[in-house]
Amino acid sequence: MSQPQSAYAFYSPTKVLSGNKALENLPVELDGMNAVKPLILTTPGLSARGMEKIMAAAFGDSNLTIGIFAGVPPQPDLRLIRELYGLYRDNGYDAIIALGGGPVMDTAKTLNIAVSGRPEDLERLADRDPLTKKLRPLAAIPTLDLSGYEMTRYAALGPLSLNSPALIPDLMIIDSRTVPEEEHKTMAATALMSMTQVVEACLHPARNLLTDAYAYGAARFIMENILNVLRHPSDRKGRLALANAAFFAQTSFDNLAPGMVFELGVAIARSCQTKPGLVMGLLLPHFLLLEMRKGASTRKDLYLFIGGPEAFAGTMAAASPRKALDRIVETLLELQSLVPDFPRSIRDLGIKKEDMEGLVAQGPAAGVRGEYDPQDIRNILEKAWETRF
Amino acid sequence: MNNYKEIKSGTKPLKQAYVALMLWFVGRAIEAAARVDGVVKAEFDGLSPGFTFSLGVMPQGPTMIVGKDAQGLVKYRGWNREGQKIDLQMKIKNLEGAVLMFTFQESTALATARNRLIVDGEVPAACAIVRVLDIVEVYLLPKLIAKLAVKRYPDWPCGEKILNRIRIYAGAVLGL
Repeated sequence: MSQPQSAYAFYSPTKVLSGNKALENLPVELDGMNAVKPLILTTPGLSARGMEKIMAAAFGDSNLTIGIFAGVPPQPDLRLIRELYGLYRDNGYDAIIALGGGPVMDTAKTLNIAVSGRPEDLERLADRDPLTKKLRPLAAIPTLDLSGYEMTRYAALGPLSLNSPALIPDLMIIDSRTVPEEEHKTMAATALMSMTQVVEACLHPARNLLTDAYAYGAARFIMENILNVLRHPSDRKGRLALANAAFFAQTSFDNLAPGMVFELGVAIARSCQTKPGLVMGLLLPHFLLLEMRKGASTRKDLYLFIGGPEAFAGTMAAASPRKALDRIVETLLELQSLVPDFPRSIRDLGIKKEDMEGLVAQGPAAGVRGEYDPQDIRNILEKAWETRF
Repeated sequence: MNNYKEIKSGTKPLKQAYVALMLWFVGRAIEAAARVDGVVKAEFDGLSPGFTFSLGVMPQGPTMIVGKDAQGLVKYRGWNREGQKIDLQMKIKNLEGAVLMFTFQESTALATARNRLIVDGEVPAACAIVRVLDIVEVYLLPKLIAKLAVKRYPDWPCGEKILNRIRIYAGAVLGL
């Protein structure tokens, strides 16, 4: 009998508009949030790929004036926030639209705190003072080059690490025109990161029916589209599905504590200057294997998420986790065959054995925030170092 | 600041003109259909006396207004809302959504499901107007296109459909 857990919480305040011409809804959606003059933030790279024109066309006929700042660098800092704060205030903007992935969203979330109150609020929030003010409207238009935190309560900017439900964007638009083709490695990394968030959400002790529902949608979108998108990057619907999957996965992830593979992936990627999703993809099979060995928390329907209902229906319950693991490894191998320079092991990223011990020992200092058994971390890192997929 | 610019949104005059023409034509066709088609007449008879609705594009039009007069006759009342008491406003959220609808790439029902319309008024009345729009589109369009534009293509007697189609076109184009 299906019954809800005795107690659970789930929070997702984002209105999602996805599909053909979704972008053209921006003016009316902003109007619904009492905003008439948005400031669009994006990167020089996306601007060079014609995104400015697409955004301007979406506002065509709306009678609105929009500002576009296309200078968000890969590592934004507080100096940029100060400049944007002045720009926002001096020109009378009343909403922020973030077009792009990690750095753009981090900048937008941070700027939103500053412009919704005082710039000092940033330091107060970083000091863990709760954010009490309602922030200005924030719309997100994600691409497929993502950090995994875009649609969540987290933001990081230089030394600031922010965490508040108020930072979650009010609106998200996924339109095939704003999900352009990225490099194969980037799209594969984003898909593997979303898959990591899915698997860790599925196995999280605090999971609930809603986190499962989001995780299921994400898993199906990824598994049914990633290989085709890499073979045919012009597949607009496939790219749209992957962007949707990222949102689903991040929402599920945001309602649970970050998982070990995700945290390790971020920490290792930071030290190796690579994409976190690639590292997570290499760690995920070992994490699953470890979970299976522990037995207790591995759910019997994991293969429903990874393999889909038809494959799951033809599988004995006891074999489900193993089949899920096999399917993930198969996908990883196929991705490696499709993506040039895809690392085969974390050794290929330049990680040395002594570095791994440092990661285990440093724990939170290395960016691994969760409370994990050091032996588990060591086990996964060693396996990922020794194994070449 | 480098990499910063402010732009004023442009206009889409061709698309706006096309949608305005379609709204004008559909508005007049509704008036004609209410005279010649029993189902359309019955739908309007079921609405309150003096009932008036508008179908337009946000934020600044174009719009068509259709309503019942004191005698219960359905009249196309142009595009200007000023001085008119509108009971039901159906607003297409943007011009691109209106183009999708009026190039029959999306039916009214599908556009509603895809969140392209805002309805301000009674839901039963809105449902009645959507049914009227479907019937009018069946009369105005060839079967091949109308099948894309309506939820379900009706199985009407061929002779009656052609006769009504001629009368509705005459009413819409010539005002007969």
